[in-house]
Amino acid sequence: MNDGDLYRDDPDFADVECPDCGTTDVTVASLFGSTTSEVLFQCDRCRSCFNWVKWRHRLPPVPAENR
Amino acid sequence: MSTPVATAEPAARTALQNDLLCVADTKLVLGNWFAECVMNGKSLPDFAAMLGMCTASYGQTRAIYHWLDTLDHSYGHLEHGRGRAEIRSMDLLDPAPENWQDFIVSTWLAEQATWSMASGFLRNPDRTVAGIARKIGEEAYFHLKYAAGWFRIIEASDEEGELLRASVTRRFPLALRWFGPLDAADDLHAAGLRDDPLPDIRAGFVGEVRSALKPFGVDATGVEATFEADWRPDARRTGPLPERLFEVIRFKDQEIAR
Repeated sequence: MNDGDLYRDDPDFADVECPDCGTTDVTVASLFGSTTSEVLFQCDRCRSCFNWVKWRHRLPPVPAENR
Repeated sequence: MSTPVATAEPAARTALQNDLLCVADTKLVLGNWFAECVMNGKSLPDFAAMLGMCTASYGQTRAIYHWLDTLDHSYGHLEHGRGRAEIRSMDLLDPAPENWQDFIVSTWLAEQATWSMASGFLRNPDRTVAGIARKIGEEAYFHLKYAAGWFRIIEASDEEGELLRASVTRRFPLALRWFGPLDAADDLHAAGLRDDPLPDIRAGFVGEVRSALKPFGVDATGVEATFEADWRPDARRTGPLPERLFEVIRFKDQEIAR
Protein backbone atom coordinates (compact mmCIF):
# COMPACT_ATOMS: atom_id res chain seq x y z
CA MET A 1 0.00 0.00 0.00
CA ASN A 2 1.51 3.38 -0.96
CA ASP A 3 0.52 6.94 -0.07
CA GLY A 4 -1.71 7.11 -3.16
CA ASP A 5 -3.85 4.21 -1.95
CA LEU A 6 -3.88 5.44 1.65
CA TYR A 7 -5.22 8.88 0.86
CA ARG A 8 -7.24 8.16 -2.31
CA ASP A 9 -10.64 8.96 -0.75
CA ASP A 10 -9.41 11.58 1.68
CA PRO A 11 -11.94 14.45 1.65
CA ASP A 12 -9.14 16.97 2.26
CA PHE A 13 -7.84 16.24 -1.25
CA ALA A 14 -11.15 15.84 -3.11
CA ASP A 15 -10.90 19.20 -4.91
CA VAL A 16 -7.21 19.15 -5.76
CA GLU A 17 -6.74 19.79 -9.49
CA CYS A 18 -3.76 19.15 -11.73
CA PRO A 19 -2.35 22.59 -12.61
CA ASP A 20 -1.39 21.33 -16.09
CA CYS A 21 -4.51 19.55 -17.37
CA GLY A 22 -7.13 20.51 -14.76
CA THR A 23 -8.33 17.03 -13.83
CA THR A 24 -9.10 16.08 -10.25
CA ASP A 25 -7.89 12.54 -11.00
CA VAL A 26 -4.76 13.03 -8.95
CA THR A 27 -2.92 10.82 -6.50
CA VAL A 28 -0.98 11.67 -3.35
CA ALA A 29 2.63 10.70 -4.05
CA SER A 30 3.87 11.89 -0.66
CA LEU A 31 1.98 13.48 2.23
CA PHE A 32 5.01 15.70 2.83
CA GLY A 33 6.35 17.23 -0.39
CA SER A 34 9.43 19.24 -1.26
CA THR A 35 8.65 21.45 1.73
CA THR A 36 6.81 20.57 4.94
CA SER A 37 3.91 22.80 3.94
CA GLU A 38 3.21 20.95 0.68
CA VAL A 39 1.76 17.62 -0.41
CA LEU A 40 3.32 16.02 -3.51
CA PHE A 41 0.72 14.87 -6.07
CA GLN A 42 0.93 13.06 -9.38
CA CYS A 43 -1.71 13.57 -12.04
CA ASP A 44 -3.35 10.28 -13.11
CA ARG A 45 -4.05 11.70 -16.60
CA CYS A 46 -1.01 13.69 -17.79
CA ARG A 47 1.39 12.12 -15.21
CA SER A 48 2.91 15.47 -14.20
CA CYS A 49 3.91 15.95 -10.56
CA PHE A 50 3.01 19.04 -8.60
CA ASN A 51 3.09 20.38 -5.06
CA TRP A 52 -0.06 21.53 -3.29
CA VAL A 53 0.05 23.86 -0.27
CA LYS A 54 -1.62 21.98 2.56
CA TRP A 55 -2.58 24.60 5.12
CA ARG A 56 -6.33 25.27 4.99
CA HIS A 57 -6.57 26.35 8.63
CA ARG A 58 -7.95 22.93 9.49
CA LEU A 59 -7.37 21.63 13.00
CA PRO A 60 -7.66 18.12 14.42
CA PRO A 61 -10.78 17.59 16.56
CA VAL A 62 -10.54 19.71 19.71
CA PRO A 63 -10.56 17.01 22.40
CA ALA A 64 -12.49 18.91 25.08
CA GLU A 65 -15.31 19.57 22.60
CA ASN A 66 -15.56 15.92 21.52
CA ARG A 67 -15.35 14.07 24.80
CA MET B 1 3.46 46.49 26.20
CA SER B 2 1.81 44.40 28.89
CA THR B 3 -0.22 41.36 27.90
CA PRO B 4 -2.98 39.53 29.81
CA VAL B 5 -0.42 36.94 30.85
CA ALA B 6 2.17 39.49 31.96
CA THR B 7 -0.36 41.03 34.31
CA ALA B 8 -1.86 37.74 35.55
CA GLU B 9 -1.47 36.53 39.12
CA PRO B 10 2.10 35.20 39.61
CA ALA B 11 0.94 31.60 40.24
CA ALA B 12 -1.20 31.51 37.10
CA ARG B 13 1.51 33.21 35.03
CA THR B 14 4.02 30.60 36.17
CA ALA B 15 1.59 27.72 35.60
CA LEU B 16 0.94 28.84 32.01
CA GLN B 17 4.65 29.08 31.29
CA ASN B 18 5.20 25.66 32.85
CA ASP B 19 2.57 23.98 30.68
CA LEU B 20 3.83 25.63 27.50
CA LEU B 21 7.41 24.67 28.34
CA CYS B 22 6.23 21.06 28.78
CA VAL B 23 4.72 21.21 25.27
CA ALA B 24 7.86 22.86 23.84
CA ASP B 25 10.29 20.38 25.41
CA THR B 26 8.15 17.41 24.37
CA LYS B 27 8.24 18.76 20.81
CA LEU B 28 12.03 19.12 21.12
CA VAL B 29 12.40 15.45 22.03
CA LEU B 30 9.77 14.42 19.46
CA GLY B 31 11.65 16.32 16.75
CA ASN B 32 14.80 14.44 17.72
CA TRP B 33 12.91 11.13 17.54
CA PHE B 34 12.00 11.93 13.93
CA ALA B 35 15.59 12.97 13.13
CA GLU B 36 17.15 9.92 14.77
CA CYS B 37 14.72 7.43 13.24
CA VAL B 38 14.52 8.85 9.72
CA MET B 39 16.73 6.15 8.22
CA ASN B 40 14.25 3.56 9.49
CA GLY B 41 11.59 4.95 7.14
CA LYS B 42 10.11 2.36 4.80
CA SER B 43 9.95 4.52 1.68
CA LEU B 44 10.82 7.94 0.29
CA PRO B 45 7.50 9.46 1.51
CA ASP B 46 8.42 8.30 5.03
CA PHE B 47 11.77 10.11 4.81
CA ALA B 48 10.05 13.30 3.61
CA ALA B 49 7.38 12.99 6.31
CA MET B 50 9.79 12.36 9.16
CA LEU B 51 12.10 15.21 8.18
CA GLY B 52 9.10 17.49 7.69
CA MET B 53 7.64 16.57 11.08
CA CYS B 54 11.10 17.01 12.63
CA THR B 55 11.47 20.60 11.43
CA ALA B 56 7.83 21.42 12.28
CA SER B 57 8.38 20.12 15.81
CA TYR B 58 11.57 22.18 16.27
CA GLY B 59 9.71 25.21 14.93
CA GLN B 60 6.96 24.80 17.50
CA THR B 61 9.56 24.40 20.25
CA ARG B 62 11.37 27.57 19.25
CA ALA B 63 8.16 29.59 18.85
CA ILE B 64 7.26 28.75 22.44
CA TYR B 65 10.82 29.45 23.68
CA HIS B 66 10.64 32.88 22.04
CA TRP B 67 7.32 33.60 23.75
CA LEU B 68 8.69 32.44 27.12
CA ASP B 69 11.66 34.77 26.57
CA THR B 70 9.24 37.71 26.72
CA LEU B 71 8.26 36.64 30.24
CA ASP B 72 10.35 34.85 32.87
CA HIS B 73 12.78 32.79 30.78
CA SER B 74 15.81 33.40 28.59
CA TYR B 75 15.78 31.96 25.05
CA GLY B 76 19.49 31.19 25.19
CA HIS B 77 19.17 29.34 28.46
CA LEU B 78 16.12 27.40 27.27
CA GLU B 79 17.75 26.28 24.04
CA HIS B 80 21.30 25.50 25.11
CA GLY B 81 21.79 26.33 28.76
CA ARG B 82 19.88 23.62 30.56
CA GLY B 83 20.91 20.31 32.09
CA ARG B 84 18.93 17.11 31.76
CA ALA B 85 17.09 17.70 35.04
CA GLU B 86 15.61 20.90 33.58
CA ILE B 87 14.16 19.43 30.38
CA ARG B 88 10.40 18.96 30.74
CA SER B 89 9.54 16.47 28.02
CA MET B 90 6.84 13.81 28.31
CA ASP B 91 8.38 10.65 29.75
CA LEU B 92 6.43 8.66 27.16
CA LEU B 93 9.35 9.53 24.87
CA ASP B 94 12.10 8.48 27.30
CA PRO B 95 12.45 4.87 26.10
CA ALA B 96 13.65 4.54 22.49
CA PRO B 97 11.24 2.87 20.04
CA GLU B 98 11.51 -0.93 20.02
CA ASN B 99 10.22 -1.37 16.47
CA TRP B 100 8.44 0.53 13.68
CA GLN B 101 4.98 -0.02 15.17
CA ASP B 102 6.20 1.29 18.53
CA PHE B 103 7.66 4.33 16.74
CA ILE B 104 4.32 5.09 15.05
CA VAL B 105 2.31 4.61 18.27
CA SER B 106 4.73 6.67 20.40
CA THR B 107 4.97 9.63 18.03
CA TRP B 108 1.20 9.56 17.44
CA LEU B 109 0.44 9.54 21.19
CA ALA B 110 2.90 12.40 21.73
CA GLU B 111 1.35 14.42 18.86
CA GLN B 112 -2.19 13.74 20.09
CA ALA B 113 -1.35 14.59 23.71
CA THR B 114 0.53 17.80 22.89
CA TRP B 115 -2.22 18.91 20.50
CA SER B 116 -4.79 18.19 23.23
CA MET B 117 -2.85 20.36 25.66
CA ALA B 118 -2.32 23.12 23.06
CA SER B 119 -6.02 23.07 22.12
CA GLY B 120 -6.75 24.39 25.61
CA PHE B 121 -5.06 27.67 24.61
CA LEU B 122 -6.85 28.33 21.30
CA ARG B 123 -8.89 31.12 22.88
CA ASN B 124 -6.14 32.34 25.20
CA PRO B 125 -6.34 36.08 25.96
CA ASP B 126 -2.70 36.35 24.89
CA ARG B 127 -2.91 36.42 21.07
CA THR B 128 0.58 35.00 20.64
CA VAL B 129 -0.27 31.97 22.76
CA ALA B 130 -3.53 31.46 20.87
CA GLY B 131 -1.67 31.78 17.55
CA ILE B 132 0.99 29.26 18.55
CA ALA B 133 -1.73 26.83 19.68
CA ARG B 134 -3.50 27.18 16.33
CA LYS B 135 -0.29 26.66 14.37
CA ILE B 136 0.51 23.54 16.39
CA GLY B 137 -2.96 22.26 15.49
CA GLU B 138 -2.59 23.02 11.78
CA GLU B 139 0.67 21.10 11.68
CA ALA B 140 -0.55 18.29 13.92
CA TYR B 141 -3.47 17.82 11.50
CA PHE B 142 -1.09 16.38 8.91
CA HIS B 143 1.17 14.63 11.42
CA LEU B 144 -1.87 12.75 12.73
CA LYS B 145 -3.00 12.01 9.17
CA TYR B 146 0.41 10.44 8.52
CA ALA B 147 0.02 8.18 11.58
CA ALA B 148 -3.54 7.30 10.55
CA GLY B 149 -2.19 6.14 7.18
CA TRP B 150 0.30 3.88 8.92
CA PHE B 151 -2.43 2.52 11.21
CA ARG B 152 -4.28 1.34 8.09
CA ILE B 153 -1.17 -0.49 6.90
CA ILE B 154 -0.50 -2.04 10.31
CA GLU B 155 -4.15 -3.09 10.62
CA ALA B 156 -3.75 -5.32 7.55
CA SER B 157 -1.20 -7.56 9.31
CA ASP B 158 -1.96 -9.66 12.41
CA GLU B 159 1.69 -9.69 13.41
CA GLU B 160 2.08 -5.92 13.09
CA GLY B 161 -1.23 -5.38 14.88
CA GLU B 162 0.08 -7.37 17.82
CA LEU B 163 3.21 -5.20 17.99
CA LEU B 164 0.99 -2.10 17.94
CA ARG B 165 -1.16 -3.41 20.79
CA ALA B 166 1.97 -4.19 22.85
CA SER B 167 3.22 -0.66 22.25
CA VAL B 168 -0.10 0.89 23.31
CA THR B 169 -0.04 -1.16 26.52
CA ARG B 170 3.40 0.23 27.37
CA ARG B 171 3.01 3.82 26.19
CA PHE B 172 -0.62 4.87 26.72
CA PRO B 173 -0.41 5.01 30.55
CA LEU B 174 2.64 7.29 30.17
CA ALA B 175 0.69 9.60 27.86
CA LEU B 176 -2.13 9.74 30.38
CA ARG B 177 0.31 10.53 33.18
CA TRP B 178 1.35 13.67 31.30
CA PHE B 179 -2.06 15.20 32.08
CA GLY B 180 -1.42 14.78 35.81
CA PRO B 181 -3.53 13.26 38.60
CA LEU B 182 -7.26 13.20 37.88
CA ASP B 183 -8.14 14.99 41.11
CA ALA B 184 -5.66 17.87 40.67
CA ALA B 185 -7.23 21.33 40.57
CA ASP B 186 -6.82 23.26 37.32
CA ASP B 187 -5.76 26.68 38.56
CA LEU B 188 -4.96 27.78 35.03
CA HIS B 189 -8.56 27.30 33.92
CA ALA B 190 -9.79 29.00 37.08
CA ALA B 191 -7.58 32.00 36.22
CA GLY B 192 -9.08 32.22 32.72
CA LEU B 193 -5.85 31.17 31.02
CA ARG B 194 -7.00 27.73 29.83
CA ASP B 195 -10.17 27.44 27.75
CA ASP B 196 -11.43 24.17 29.24
CA PRO B 197 -10.68 22.37 32.52
CA LEU B 198 -7.77 19.96 32.11
CA PRO B 199 -9.87 16.91 33.13
CA ASP B 200 -12.16 17.66 30.15
CA ILE B 201 -9.16 17.92 27.81
CA ARG B 202 -7.76 14.66 29.20
CA ALA B 203 -11.14 12.95 28.72
CA GLY B 204 -11.24 14.21 25.14
CA PHE B 205 -7.73 12.88 24.55
CA VAL B 206 -8.78 9.45 25.84
CA GLY B 207 -11.80 9.57 23.52
CA GLU B 208 -9.60 10.32 20.49
CA VAL B 209 -7.22 7.48 21.39
CA ARG B 210 -10.07 5.00 21.92
CA SER B 211 -11.63 5.93 18.61
CA ALA B 212 -8.37 5.55 16.66
CA LEU B 213 -7.52 2.22 18.27
CA LYS B 214 -10.96 0.65 17.90
CA PRO B 215 -10.01 -1.25 14.69
CA PHE B 216 -7.24 -2.97 16.65
CA GLY B 217 -9.57 -4.22 19.37
CA VAL B 218 -7.79 -2.11 21.97
CA ASP B 219 -10.05 -1.02 24.80
CA ALA B 220 -8.37 1.96 26.41
CA THR B 221 -11.14 2.24 29.01
CA GLY B 222 -10.00 1.86 32.57
CA VAL B 223 -6.31 2.46 31.85
CA GLU B 224 -4.92 4.60 34.65
CA ALA B 225 -1.69 6.49 35.12
CA THR B 226 0.50 5.85 38.15
CA PHE B 227 2.54 8.55 39.82
CA GLU B 228 5.92 7.77 41.37
CA ALA B 229 7.43 9.66 44.30
CA ASP B 230 9.64 11.69 41.96
CA TRP B 231 6.71 12.87 39.79
CA ARG B 232 7.28 16.56 39.00
CA PRO B 233 3.95 18.34 38.41
CA ASP B 234 5.61 21.49 37.01
CA ALA B 235 7.50 19.39 34.44
CA ARG B 236 4.72 16.83 33.87
CA ARG B 237 7.33 14.08 34.04
CA THR B 238 9.03 11.69 36.46
CA GLY B 239 12.63 12.41 37.40
CA PRO B 240 15.27 13.88 35.07
CA LEU B 241 15.65 13.13 31.37
CA PRO B 242 17.69 9.92 30.89
CA GLU B 243 21.36 10.68 30.31
CA ARG B 244 21.58 8.99 26.90
CA LEU B 245 18.50 10.77 25.59
CA PHE B 246 19.80 14.11 26.84
CA GLU B 247 23.04 13.50 24.93
CA VAL B 248 20.93 13.15 21.75
CA ILE B 249 18.73 16.20 22.22
CA ARG B 250 21.13 18.75 23.72
CA PHE B 251 22.87 21.38 21.62
CA LYS B 252 26.34 20.02 20.96
CA ASP B 253 28.21 23.24 20.20
CA GLN B 254 27.06 26.56 21.55
CA GLU B 255 29.45 28.49 19.36
CA ILE B 256 27.97 26.99 16.20
CA ALA B 257 24.45 27.51 17.52
CA ARG B 258 25.05 31.25 17.63
